[in-house]
Amino acid sequence: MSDHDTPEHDKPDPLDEAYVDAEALLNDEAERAARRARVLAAVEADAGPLHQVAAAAPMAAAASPSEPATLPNVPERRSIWRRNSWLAAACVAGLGLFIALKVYQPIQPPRPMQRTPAHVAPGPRAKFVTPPAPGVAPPLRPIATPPVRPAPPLPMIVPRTRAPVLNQTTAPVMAVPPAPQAFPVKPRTEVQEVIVTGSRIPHPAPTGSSPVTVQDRKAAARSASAAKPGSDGTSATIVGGASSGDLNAGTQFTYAAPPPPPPPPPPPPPAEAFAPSPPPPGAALDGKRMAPLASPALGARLGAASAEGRTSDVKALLADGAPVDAPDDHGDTALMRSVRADKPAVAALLLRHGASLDRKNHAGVSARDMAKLVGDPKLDRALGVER
Amino acid sequence: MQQDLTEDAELLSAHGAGDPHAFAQLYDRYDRPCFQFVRRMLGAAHAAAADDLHQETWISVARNASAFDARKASFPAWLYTIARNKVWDHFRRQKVTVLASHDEDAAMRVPDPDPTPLDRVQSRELADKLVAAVDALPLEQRGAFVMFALSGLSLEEIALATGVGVETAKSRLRYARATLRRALADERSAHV
Repeated sequence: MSDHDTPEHDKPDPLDEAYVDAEALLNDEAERAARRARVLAAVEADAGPLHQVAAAAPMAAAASPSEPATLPNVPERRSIWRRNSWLAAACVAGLGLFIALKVYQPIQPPRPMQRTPAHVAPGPRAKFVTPPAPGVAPPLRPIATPPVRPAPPLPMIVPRTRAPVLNQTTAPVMAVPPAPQAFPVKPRTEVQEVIVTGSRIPHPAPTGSSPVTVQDRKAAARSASAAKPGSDGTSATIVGGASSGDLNAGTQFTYAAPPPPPPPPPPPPPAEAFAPSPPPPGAALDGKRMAPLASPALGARLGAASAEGRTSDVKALLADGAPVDAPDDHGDTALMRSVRADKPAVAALLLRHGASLDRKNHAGVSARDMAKLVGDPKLDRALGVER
Repeated sequence: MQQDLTEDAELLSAHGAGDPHAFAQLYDRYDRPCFQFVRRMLGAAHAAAADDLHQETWISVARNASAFDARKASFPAWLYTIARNKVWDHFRRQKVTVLASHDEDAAMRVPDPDPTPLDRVQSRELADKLVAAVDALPLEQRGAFVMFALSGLSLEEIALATGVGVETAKSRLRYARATLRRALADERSAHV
C-alpha cells in the first residue's frame, strides 16, 4: 500500500497550519478592508440593473406569459415596406421601358419613291410629267426611273426642293406666276412643260438623256412660246429641276423629248393689230431668259417705270414678260401713265411692244385722248397722233 | 460546519431576495481564503491581477446566487470553482501555457517526511519563504493545497471544485506537501 492511500492524507497537516499562519502573518488588514469596500460596491453596482431586470421580468411575464420577453428599442422589421419598395422599383422600371418604347423610334431606311397619283404632292413648284399616249408622241423617258420596273408608266414626280434664287443684277425680272395650289393630274395625252430654274439648273444628267445647255433651253423656250400649249398636242417637254437642291451641281437638265421643228417665228404685228392679250405664259420675250408666266406685279412695276420715264427698266420688264397693257386699279395701262407723265420715249417704246392707244380706262379715257390733253408735240410724234 | 453551510445557503438566498447585508456577511466569511486562493493560483508573476479576479469572482457569485444548489455542493466548493475558472480565464487571456508538472513522479519517490517542528511560523521571513514555496508548486497541486489548508475543503470538495476525481485531488495534495517539505528542509533543520 502506498503512502497516498493512507487516510492520513485527508487530515490536516502541520504544514497546512504553518501555511495558514504564514498567510495570516502576511495579511494586511488595511488592504483587506479596502478590497472589501471595493468588491461590495462593485457587487452592489452590478446588482442594481440586475434587480431592475429581475423586477421587470415578472411584470412582462404577467402581461404576456405566452410571448417571450423582447428587448426594448429594437426596431421591428418592416417586411411590408420591403415588399412595397420592390413594387415601386418594378413600377418605375416598367414606366421607363414604356416611355423608351414610345419615344424611341428606330431609324428606318428611306422608302423608295412610289410613283402613284396618291403621292403627288401639291407643292407649289412640283412639276408633273405624264407620259403621252402611245402613238401620239414619242414616249418620255422618266428621270431616275429604274428601267427594269415593269409597272405601267405613271406620272413622275420631279420635286424641287429648293426654289431657284435669282440674282437681281443678272436676272432682275423673273416671271414667276403665282404658284397654283394644286396641279390637277389630268390624263393628258400630251404634256408640255418648261421648267425654268434659273441660269444654273442643278440637276444631274440622267443616264441616257442628252444634256442640253442654257442655249438649248433658250431655243426650246422660243419654240415653246411659239407653240400654243395644248393646241396641237405636240411640243417639247423639258424637264428640269433641282432634285438635290444644289444650285451649283451643274448646268444641265434633261431634255427628255425632242421638240418638233419649231415653227417660224411670227412676224411682229403692227401696233394697231397687236392683240391686247398678254403673251402666253412661259414665253420668252427677248430670248435671253424664259418667263413662263406673267405676274401682275410686273405690270404694276411696268406702269410705275413708265410713269417715271425709266426707259431701261421698261425695257427690262418687257423683256421679262411684263404685260404691256396690264391695267392698274383705275384701268390705266403703262402707256396711259407714260402719256399722262409726258414721257415720249417710254410711250414710243411701249407702242413698239404692242401697247394699245385706244384702250380705255375705267373713266373711258384712252391714251390717245390723254395725249390730246397733254398737247406735247413730241409726245404726239412719238405716238403718231396727228392733230 | 454543517450549520455554516446551511447559513451560507441562507445568506445567498437572502441576497437573492434583496437583503443587502446577507452578501456582506457571506463575503466577510470567505474573503480571505478566496483572495489568498486567487493570489496563490496566479503566482508571483500575475499577482497584480489578484484584486480584479477576486472582485470578478464575487460579482459572479452575486449574479448567480439563484443558481447555487446547496444539495450539490457546499458554498466554499462553489466559490473556489468560480475563482479557479477566473484564474484559468485570466491565463487564457494572457496566453499563459500551464504545463503539466514533471515533479509529480519525483515527488512520488520522495518519502513523506515526518511532522516537522516548523509547526508554527514565527517570523515574517519564514512566512515569506513558505508562501514562496507554495507559489512554486505546480498549479493544480497549489490549488489543492490552498483549498485544503485555508478553507478546510475535503478531498471530495476539492475534486468537485477542480473537476477531477477524489484520488487525483488526494494525490495532488500529497505531492504538494511533499514538495513543500523538500523545499523547506533547510529551514526546518535550521529551526530544529
